Amino acid sequence: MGRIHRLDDLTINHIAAGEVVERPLSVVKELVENALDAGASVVSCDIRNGGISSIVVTDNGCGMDRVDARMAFERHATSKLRTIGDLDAIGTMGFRGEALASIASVSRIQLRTRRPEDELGIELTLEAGTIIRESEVGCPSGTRIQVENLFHNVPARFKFLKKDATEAGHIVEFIGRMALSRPDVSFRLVNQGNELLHTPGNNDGSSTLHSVLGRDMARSLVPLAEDGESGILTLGGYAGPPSLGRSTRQHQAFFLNGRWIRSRVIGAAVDEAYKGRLVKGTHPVVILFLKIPSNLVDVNVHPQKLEVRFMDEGVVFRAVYHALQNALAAGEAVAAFDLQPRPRTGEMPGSRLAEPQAAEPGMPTAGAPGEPIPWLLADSGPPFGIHAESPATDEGQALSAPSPDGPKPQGSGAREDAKPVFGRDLAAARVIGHLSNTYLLLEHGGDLLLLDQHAAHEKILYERLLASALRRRSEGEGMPPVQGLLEPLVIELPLADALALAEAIGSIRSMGFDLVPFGPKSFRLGGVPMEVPRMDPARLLRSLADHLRHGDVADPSGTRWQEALFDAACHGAIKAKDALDPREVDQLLKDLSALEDPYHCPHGRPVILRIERQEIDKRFKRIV
Amino acid sequence: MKIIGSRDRWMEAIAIVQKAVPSRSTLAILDGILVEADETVKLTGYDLETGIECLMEADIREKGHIVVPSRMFGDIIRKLPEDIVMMEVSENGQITIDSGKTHFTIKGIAADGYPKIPVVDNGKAVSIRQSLLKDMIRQTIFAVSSDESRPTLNGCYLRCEGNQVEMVAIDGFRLALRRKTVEGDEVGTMSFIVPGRTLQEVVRVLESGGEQPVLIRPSGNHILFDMGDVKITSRLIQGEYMNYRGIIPQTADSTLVVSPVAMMDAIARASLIISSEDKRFPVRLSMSEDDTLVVTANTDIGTLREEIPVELTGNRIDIDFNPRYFLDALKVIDQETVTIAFNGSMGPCVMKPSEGSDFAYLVLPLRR
Ligand SMILES: Nc1ncnc2c1ncn2[C@@H]1O[C@H](COP(=O)(O)OP(=O)(O)OP(=O)(O)O)[C@@H](O)[C@H]1O
Ligand SMILES: [Mg+2]
Repeated sequence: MGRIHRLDDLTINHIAAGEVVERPLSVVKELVENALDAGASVVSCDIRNGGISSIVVTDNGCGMDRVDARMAFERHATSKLRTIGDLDAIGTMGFRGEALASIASVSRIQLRTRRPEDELGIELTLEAGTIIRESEVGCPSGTRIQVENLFHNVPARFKFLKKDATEAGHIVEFIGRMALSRPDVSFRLVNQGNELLHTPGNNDGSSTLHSVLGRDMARSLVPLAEDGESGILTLGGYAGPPSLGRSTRQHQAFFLNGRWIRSRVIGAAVDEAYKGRLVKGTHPVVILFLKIPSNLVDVNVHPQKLEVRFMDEGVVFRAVYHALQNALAAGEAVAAFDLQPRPRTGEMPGSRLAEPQAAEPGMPTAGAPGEPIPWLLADSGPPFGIHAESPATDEGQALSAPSPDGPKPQGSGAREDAKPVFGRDLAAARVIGHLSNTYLLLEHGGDLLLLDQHAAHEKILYERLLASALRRRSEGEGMPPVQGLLEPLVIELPLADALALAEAIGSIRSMGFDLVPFGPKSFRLGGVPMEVPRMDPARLLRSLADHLRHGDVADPSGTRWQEALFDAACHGAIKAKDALDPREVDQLLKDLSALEDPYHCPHGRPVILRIERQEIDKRFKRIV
Repeated sequence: MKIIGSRDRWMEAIAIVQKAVPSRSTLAILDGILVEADETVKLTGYDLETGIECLMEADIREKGHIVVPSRMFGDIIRKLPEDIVMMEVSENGQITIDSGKTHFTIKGIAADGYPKIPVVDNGKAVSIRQSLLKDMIRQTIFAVSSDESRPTLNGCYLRCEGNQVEMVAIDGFRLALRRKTVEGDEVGTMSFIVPGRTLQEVVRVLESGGEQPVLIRPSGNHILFDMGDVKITSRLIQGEYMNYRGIIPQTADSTLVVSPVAMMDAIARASLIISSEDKRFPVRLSMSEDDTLVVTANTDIGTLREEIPVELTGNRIDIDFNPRYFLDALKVIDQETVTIAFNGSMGPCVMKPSEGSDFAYLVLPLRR
């Protein structure tokens, strides 16, 4: 007997489902896309337990008749594509006729649908892909699909589902994005009976933005001027100001012809446009809507239709880059006090001069007058005895594990003949000046130290927060002393962030933040830990939420939590442009010298640079 | 231009306006002092945020104006041998300074390019005695926030209503309020936020015992402090100030009357061991008898315990505080006794001098 046989339909669908339906989000995505394809102006989604026990998507679209309703669950049954030629000009979100079949194979489905012109609707119940009940019903026109017991017959996948809140978070994000891309459609999302989102669907982009991102963020975004390149491409959207930099890319969303996509080209164009404006390790908030005639883009390259191939990547890159550059330049003209360095507008990537190279030791470094002296740039490495202070041991590296794309700690920056570590007696260093209100100049053992105030604050803030998070765990100690705020601060967050923060609220409170939920998207902060130095708690908590939204955050000793704290500290530490008063300087030095590794900020950038006396003498040709 | 004046007068005036001369401005002309001789001699320093103008007594022989390099000018004047100084500016901007047998020639910059300080006058003005304004600033400015994320708190809120003038500073954790009824005409209702930095300059110019009035003139974006010979103009901070009125409680669970000096000394001693290594500790105020307040600090380093005599009304207290917040306020209370009202271990604590209701300071305790 032959060993090769045809797979039965259920098995085929299971395999396909593996590609199409990977988690509750995938189901929501397919159902919502179908609703939009059906011309709905109202789409509502109701989930329970992160969508694992139930997902209901209701629309007021065109509905289906009895024959179509049955056909819809067949594989490769679609109303959206007839011939292979159509594939080149896909205008709908679905086209493969695969989604419903796949979902049906791994769940229990109840469909209720009615076309506006029909008197009665039809109700189908499917179990593992097979129709087990069918009847006529009276129902509103449109379609309602309920998906239950997702993956109950695929234990392997069921096991890998994340916690309810995590799955819900993904769905919240997705619906938010869809709502942004379609301000003409009213979206509603209900989780465990609570309405999380409800957009007006009045085709007003800004009121939609408001309901999805929250007031604070929505207000600060700059709309892009609608612009097209020779009629091929239309681009719209919003650019966040550089100061709104977030720790992850989660706040970037790109839409192509109404469909959310991931795109390396667009991502690169965004990075390029913001280059030089952002604090290291942060990503801008950017929302982009691209419209390209569907024959100039291939959408059929990814099972979940998340990636696309552009015919001309250059056009897309340039359009995005220029639109953002213009928006940023306009935004900066208003914010006259934005002291961030800005690249000259109009300058194209690539035309930029190469970064100054670190000079080879032994080579003369006197550059042309007016040029930056390469060896003074911290990034250009440690030649000539000017180096980021670093402990002789490797301790510092563990502590300063950087965020994935942050620079590595410059632990190797110390020369072999570097002076011994001075950690503890840093407090004894004498302050001799202040450079641009940013760096403290200190004399220490005859050497000159340059200390980056802001990096130092970040470092202290991070260590304090981490210590209090860990201390409580190990010693069962209660909250650290909490300094009450005169007026509680209400912090509003985008939904998905709010959900994540709510889940981690226990750990956050144990660090001394008196934080309580205050409505679905908001929190009330009544007090902050006494131990930490100057900070902006709202920014700090936002950054925390950024990190926590996808992670397992229950365990404050976990690496995910630590990473989140690194970043939160970076964002939350106050940018001290102004001169510190002597008392503050004193405190800063004391606090720093109490740290194990005062040398690197949480992102691995140096906090202290040392210029040795010997080196200075050499430069003045006092010694050779 | 030709003027004859006194070296000491010059030095005073230069020192005052130099406060507003930026040290390295993008606009080179701002690095100088504008000297104008008209009916009187006026010196101006301006960094585009804050402008200081100072009138100076001098004998004007010939009118004119010129911008002189600030540092150099100050140094030259200070080093002159005699008190009588003659300054003359030639057609081509050459400045000569003569004193005794000393004769300097330096280059000036034409005054035409010097930016104008906005004229602030919409008819409204509040008049306050110099010494009083100085006190008001001193008693509030320490609570101004330096947190740039809340710009409205980076200044003092000045509010006038009827005959009342009120100055408030808040940094999110505490509030300092100074109020005074001024004599004379009603000033009408107005309020604005003055940058802390400006007030620091104003305080320097004000004389402690000064009986002369300061005229405060606000307009939409700017404010002018007119102290007669010296005028300071500054940008105002725009925005809505925190609504603080409802925050100050009118009742109390416990009220202590205590000597601010005794309390300050005890807390200062506690502070010696409070800021240790990586932790910071509260100072604890508690009572086991009605007439004694016990100040304790209990830290990694050691402990402090000190008893202070007090008069108590209401419940005994047991509350933690950030010592710095307590010290800052005690320092500016000039009376023999201070009345401190507590509202449990969570509620706000209000400090007032025992006499009068001119000053109030509110701080929240540390929650354990
Ligand atoms: N909400 C709906 N309202 C009306 N018709 C629908 C709805 N959902 C599905 N259909 C019909 O069922 C068909 C099959 O849907 P399904 O999602 O399986 O495939 P598709 O959308 O055509 O392609 P894809 O697999 O790419 O999503 C659709 O082509 C459409 O005709
Ligand atoms: Mg579909």
